[in-house]
Amino acid sequence: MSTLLLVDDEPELLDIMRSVLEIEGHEVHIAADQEEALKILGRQKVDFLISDYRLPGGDTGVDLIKHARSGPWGAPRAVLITGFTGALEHHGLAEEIFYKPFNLQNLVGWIRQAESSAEPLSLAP
Amino acid sequence: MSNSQEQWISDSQKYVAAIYTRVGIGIARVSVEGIILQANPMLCDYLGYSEAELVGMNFQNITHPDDKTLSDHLRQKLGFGQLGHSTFEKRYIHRQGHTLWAQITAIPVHAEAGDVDYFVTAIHDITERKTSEQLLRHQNEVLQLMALNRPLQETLTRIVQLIEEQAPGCKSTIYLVQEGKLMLGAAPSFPLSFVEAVNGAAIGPQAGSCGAAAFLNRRVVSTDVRVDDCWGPYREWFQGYGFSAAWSTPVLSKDGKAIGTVSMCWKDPKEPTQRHFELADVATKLMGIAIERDLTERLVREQQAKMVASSKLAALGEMAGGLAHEINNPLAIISGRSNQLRLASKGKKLTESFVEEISESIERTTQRISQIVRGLKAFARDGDHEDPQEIQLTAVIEDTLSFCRERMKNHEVELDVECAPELRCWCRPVQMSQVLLNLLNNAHDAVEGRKEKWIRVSARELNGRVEITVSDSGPGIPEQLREKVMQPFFTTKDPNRGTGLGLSVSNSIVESHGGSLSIVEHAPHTTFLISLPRRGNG
Repeated sequence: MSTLLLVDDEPELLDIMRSVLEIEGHEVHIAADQEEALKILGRQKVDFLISDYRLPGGDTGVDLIKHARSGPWGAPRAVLITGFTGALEHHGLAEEIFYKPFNLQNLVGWIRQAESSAEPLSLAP
Repeated sequence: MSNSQEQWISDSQKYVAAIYTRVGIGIARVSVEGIILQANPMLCDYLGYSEAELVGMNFQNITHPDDKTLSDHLRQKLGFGQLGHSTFEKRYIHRQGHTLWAQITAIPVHAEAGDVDYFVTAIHDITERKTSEQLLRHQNEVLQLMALNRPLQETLTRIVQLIEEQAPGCKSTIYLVQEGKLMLGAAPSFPLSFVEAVNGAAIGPQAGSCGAAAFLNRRVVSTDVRVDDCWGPYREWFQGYGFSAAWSTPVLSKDGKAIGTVSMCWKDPKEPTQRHFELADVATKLMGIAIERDLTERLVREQQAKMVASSKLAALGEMAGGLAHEINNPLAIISGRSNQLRLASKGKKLTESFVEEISESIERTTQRISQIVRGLKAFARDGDHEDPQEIQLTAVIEDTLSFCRERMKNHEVELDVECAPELRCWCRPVQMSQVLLNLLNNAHDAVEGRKEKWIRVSARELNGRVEITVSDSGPGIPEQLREKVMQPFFTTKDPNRGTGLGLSVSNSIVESHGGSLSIVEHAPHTTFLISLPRRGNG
């Protein structure tokens, strides 16, 4: 089981994701924006950072992943979720992108698979 | 009488006779009533009548209708001895119907008793000077029409009128040459059936004087339609309209190809004079300028239209992207809820209150999507072809807000709308919604991440115009960017979020409403102002 940080500016979606992932047995933290997320990342180790691409204040999930890498606990593995329909530029920083609306079981399954492989799952940048 | 006196009289008779018959001035003896008593050969030539025809005729009969009053007035004044003599300009009508200009000196000759016996009238032909002046004036008028960007047809019609005024008795046509065909430019003196028959006719060596001039790229002068080569199958048809001569001059492009023709058509067989050629050259020169200007103008307009079309497409793409994002988020919630249900069911944890909670969330989220779709329906209509209408402004604002209200709420942006329900404006509602949405989205992006987050929309009526302002608590637009923000493709946003077309498209939409879109100077916060006419012009 892993420690997850979910970041999204939709409070209801955040709640749903948390409840599903908790049933799966993960330890789940949530944040509504980059600032909150960085606070949590500074406090503790996170295995997976699952962030919305578009964050309040003009920040993107990619910015957040970059900041997270310089945290005291080392870089978490990262996944982006987004409501956009096109390609996202993430410079190979995200291992997977989930386009909303997506089946949460796919996210659950992806985390299971990722946990069993130490190497980042490849995703063409 | 002495010999020397007789000698003098005989001398002066010869002298007067020489003046009367040989000097190039029309001279007449006219009664106080205006009847011609005597006319010299020059005058007969000038007016086109024999002396026998002129004698006994009232001068008024050959005076231009517009000058009759003036002429009468002066004759009476002179007749009553109120004027010693009088010099003035007036117009006569030549026997063949064209107008002549004359400078006239009328001298009353008194009888022994002191009354005016008759007038000696000297008539100096100034037709040429007047015609040149008129030509200059008309040329100026044509150039003015061009400078004012009047429609090409209007300019060409004026050129035809210029020719017809300058060459009395002639009827003129102008054609444009396009892809080997004559296309009507202007022919105000010709019947519709004539115009329609020529319009679209192919050029060729035997396609009439205009068709041949356009084909040969040189002037074609047909002095006698009955025998000239250029008429081919058109000969009888053209004669049927009562013409016997036609001279056509092409307007040549820089590479020597005809792009237009100008014709002078005559009732009787006729040879052109140097002056006719000069006139045709003036006309073709003017036409050349007019056609070229029109072409340039049209190219510019086409490019503008293309630009607007492509920017509209881009704006549409931008909007579609934004919309997808707005809808995908609530869809993710619904999908997540269904997942929760399945999980709970599998784990046998499906309680009534849990189902209630999930259902309520799905219903609420569905509402949220449906509101966006309702707003979209308004956009789905083609805003361009919508007629402007007088509409309640709050309806336009509400429609627009349905797109972005949720997003504002999620990001804790305070949205404040101040608009009297009775306020109405004249607009195409869909387009105006697009403009407002664009301003609201920009405002949202500007306040995002700031401590104080608000957007204010307010509308009021001022001096017969409706003013709508959209202001926000964002950091403001730096002075040096103010001019740039309205330019197409200028953006300060992430390439994924902005194409830089929103404001430029909005600006052109507002302008098409007879309004303006501007940034309010010296406002404490970023404020965009839309000013619209309260009522349309038609």
